[in-house]
Amino acid sequence: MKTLRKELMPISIMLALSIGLVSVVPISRCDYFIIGFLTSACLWIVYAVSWDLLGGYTGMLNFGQMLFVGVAGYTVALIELHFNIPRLFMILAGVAGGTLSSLLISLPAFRVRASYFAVVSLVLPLVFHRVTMTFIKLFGGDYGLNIDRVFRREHLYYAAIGIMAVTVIAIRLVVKRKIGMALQCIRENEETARAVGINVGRYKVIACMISAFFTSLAGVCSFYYMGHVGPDLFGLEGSFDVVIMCVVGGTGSVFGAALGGGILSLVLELMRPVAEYRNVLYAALLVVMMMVAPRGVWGLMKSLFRRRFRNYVQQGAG
Amino acid sequence: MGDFFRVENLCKNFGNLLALDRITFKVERGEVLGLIGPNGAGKTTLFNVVTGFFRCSSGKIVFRGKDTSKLSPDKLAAEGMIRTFQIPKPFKELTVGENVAVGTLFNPGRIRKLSISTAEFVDRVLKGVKLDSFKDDSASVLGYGNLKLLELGRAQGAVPELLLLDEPFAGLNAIEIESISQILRALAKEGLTLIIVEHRLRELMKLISRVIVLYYGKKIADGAPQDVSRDKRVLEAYLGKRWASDNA
Amino acid sequence: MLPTVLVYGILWTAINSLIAIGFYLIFSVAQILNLAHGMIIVGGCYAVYVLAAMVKLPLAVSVVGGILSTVLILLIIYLCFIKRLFSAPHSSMLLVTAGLAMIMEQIIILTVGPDTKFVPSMVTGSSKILGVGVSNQGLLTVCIAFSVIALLMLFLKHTKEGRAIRATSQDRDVAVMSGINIEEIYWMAVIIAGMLAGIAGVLVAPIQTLTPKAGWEMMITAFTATILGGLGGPIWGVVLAAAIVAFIELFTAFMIGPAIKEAAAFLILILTLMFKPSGLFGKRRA
Repeated sequence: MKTLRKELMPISIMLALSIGLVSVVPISRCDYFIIGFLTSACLWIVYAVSWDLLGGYTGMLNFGQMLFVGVAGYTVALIELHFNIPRLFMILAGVAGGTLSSLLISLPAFRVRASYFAVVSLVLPLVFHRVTMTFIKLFGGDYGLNIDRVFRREHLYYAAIGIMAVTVIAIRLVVKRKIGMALQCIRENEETARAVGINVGRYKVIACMISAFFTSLAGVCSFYYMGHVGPDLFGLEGSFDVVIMCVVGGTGSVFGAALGGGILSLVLELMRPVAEYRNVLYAALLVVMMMVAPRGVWGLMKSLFRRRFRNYVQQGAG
Repeated sequence: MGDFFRVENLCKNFGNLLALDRITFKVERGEVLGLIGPNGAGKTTLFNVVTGFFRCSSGKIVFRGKDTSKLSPDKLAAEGMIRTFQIPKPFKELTVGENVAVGTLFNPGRIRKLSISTAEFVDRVLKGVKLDSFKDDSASVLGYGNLKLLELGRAQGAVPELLLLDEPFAGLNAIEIESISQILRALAKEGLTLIIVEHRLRELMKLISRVIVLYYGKKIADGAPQDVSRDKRVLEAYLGKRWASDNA
Repeated sequence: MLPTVLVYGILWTAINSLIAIGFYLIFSVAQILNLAHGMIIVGGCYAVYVLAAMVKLPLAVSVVGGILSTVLILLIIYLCFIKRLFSAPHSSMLLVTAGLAMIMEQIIILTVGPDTKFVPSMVTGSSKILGVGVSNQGLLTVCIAFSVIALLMLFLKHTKEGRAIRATSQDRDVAVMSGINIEEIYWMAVIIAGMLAGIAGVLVAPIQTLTPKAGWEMMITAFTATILGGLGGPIWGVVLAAAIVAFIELFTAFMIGPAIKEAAAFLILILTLMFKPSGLFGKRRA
C-alpha cells in the first residue's frame, strides 16, 4: 500500500524503539523500578495517542478517556468472576465493552457542537461511578472486583510495549489516510465538511470507537496485572492526566501526544514524594500551557523549525 | 422524462414566522437561474432548505427524479447537488489542492463517472478557477478574492451536476466579479446547472437565462431577466409603490 | 409519597434553578461554556465553611463573605482567562475552565480536606408542609431562590439593560447591529451569574453533602437544565427544566436509590441532545 511505504520511516522508528524496550528486561533484570516506570509510560502513551485522535484531530475533547478503561476492566472482571470461558473471549468481550461504551458519548453528541461532547464525556464517568456504588452486590462497591493476578510484571511490560507499538502505528496510519482528512475537516469546519459530502456523524462515531478500542485494550491488560478494578477508575484524575499529556506534548500530532505521554509519566514518577501536590500542579500546567503554548511542546518546536528554515531560505536567496 | 430539479409548495416556518410560502418552481438541466429579492425575502432560507441545512416544514424537493426533501448536505453531495458559502470557509490546514480534493475523495461515486484520476481532476478544476499556481500552498495564505475562487473550486471538487451559489460576488470588485462570471459561464457551457442567489443585479443579469424573485417568502416573478425587471410587482417590491407607479 | 415528592421536588427545583441559571446566563449570552461554574459555587460553600467553622466568624458575616468571594472568583476567571480566550478556538475555553475547576478542587482538598464537611444552617429547626417534615433552611432556600429568580425575570423583562441581555442571548449579531455594547452586556452577565452562584452556594451549603467532588456533580445539573431549557430562551424555561430534572431525580431516588439520581439527570441530558438539542424553549439551533 502506498501509505505504508510513505510511513516507513515513523513505523521503523516505532519498531526499533519497541525492540529496544523489549531488551531492557534481560539487561536490568532486577530493576523493578525501571520496568515499572517504562510499563506505565507505554500505557500512558497508548491513552494519550488514542485521546489525541479524538481531541487533537477531530476536535472532540474527551474529558473521560479513562471511562473506557473502567468499562473494559469491569466487563472482564465480571466475566472472570461469573463465567468460565476461554480467556481470549473474555479479553475480546472486555475490549468490545469498552469500545461500545464510546457510543454513550458519541451518539448524543452526534449532531450537536463539540463543546457538548466535552461536557457529556466529563459527566459520564461520574454516572458510572454512581452506578457501581449503587449496585454493590454486582460491582463490589468501594472494594471493587478482584481476581488473582494473571499477568506478572514482565508480561504486562511486554504487552504494554506491544500495544503501544500497535496503537501508535495504527493511529498514525488512520490519520494519514482519508479518514484522517475527514476528521481534520470536521474539526476545522463541520458545516463545510458536510457540504462537501463528509458524513460527519458517522466519522465522529468511528473516531470515538477507534480511540476507545486501543484504550480498552490497554485497560484489559492493566487489569490482568493488577487483578483489581474499583470505582476509582471512574474518577476524573486519570482522564485529566491524559488531557494534560496531550496538551503539553502537542495536540493534533501523534508524535506530540506520545511525547507528552512519555514526558509526563516521567514527571509523575519523579513527583511521587510530593504526590498530593501533583494534581494541582498538573491542572495549573494545563491552564498555563493553554494560555501560553496551546500547540504544546511539539507545536512550539515545529514553529521554531519553520522560522529558522525560513531564515535560511531568505539568507540563501539574499 | 422528469424534471431535472423541482421544488413543490415548499414552506418553512420558524415558530410564527412563515419564511417560505408555498414556493414552486423548476429548473431544466443546463439552465443558469438567478434567485433574487429584497433583504428578508427568504432567499437564504430557500437556499438553506434546498441544500439540506434546514428542514422544510412542508413541500417537496425533487432532484433528478429523487425526493431529496429530507436529505442531509452530505447525502445531497453524493447525488450531485453542491452549495457554496457566501463567506468562504476553507480548510485552512489543508493546501489549496487538498481543499478541492476533499470533495472528490468523499464522493467517490461521482468521480468514477468521469474517467480521469483524482489528481488530474483536481488540476483541471484548479486551472478552471485560476488557482493552479497555488496548488501546494496552504489555504490560509489566500486573499479574499482567491478564497471566493477556492470556494468555487471546492464545490466543483465534488463533481456536481447542480451547483448552488450563495452570493458569489459578495465583497468582490468589478474586475473580480467579471473574472468569476467568466468562470461561471464556462461551467454553464460545460453543462453544469447553476442556481445563483445574488444582490448585485446588474452583474447577475448578464449571466442568467432566467430569474426568480422572492418577496416576503412568496415567489412573485419567474421568467426571463428583461421581462422580470419590468414586472410591476418586482419594481414595487424593490423600490416601493410610489416609485414603481411614478415610473411604470 | 406524593406530598413528600411534591415538597422536596419544589425544594430541589429551587436549588437546581439557582445552580443552573448562572451557568445558563453566561452560556446563552456570551457563548462561554464555563466548566468551572459548579466548582465556583462549591467554592462559595467552602468559603462559608472556612469562615464560619474554621475562622469562627459569625454566620451572617460568613454568608456575605461567601457570596463576595464567589463573585470575586468568577470575575477573576473572566478577566484573566476567559476574556483572553475569546479569539482562541472553542476547545481552549473548555480546557482552561476545566483546568481551573481542577485547580480549585485540589486547593480545597489540600487546605480543607476531601471529607464531607457540614456547614451550619442559617435557620435551625424544621416545619411541616403538607404533612411532610422539611428543614427551615430548606424553606428559606425556596423563598429566597424564587424571589431572586422572580427579580431576575423582572429585570430582564422591564429594564433596558435586561432587554439588551435578552437580545444578545437570542442573536448576538443583530444585537451588535442594534448598537448594543456587547462588552458591557458580557460584564453584566458575568456579575449577575456570580451573584447567583454566590447565593446558590451559601443557601445550598447546609443542605448539600459538601465534598469537593460536588463541583463536578453540579455541572450535570447546570448543563442538563440549560440544554433542556434551551439557549436563547426565557429564564423560566430553565426553571421548568430544573423542575423536570428535580422531580425525575426524586422519583429515581425513591424507586432505585439516592446515589443514582445523577444517572437520571444524565439520561435526561442525552435524550435531549439526541432528540431535541435546541431544548424546550431554545431559540437557536444547537
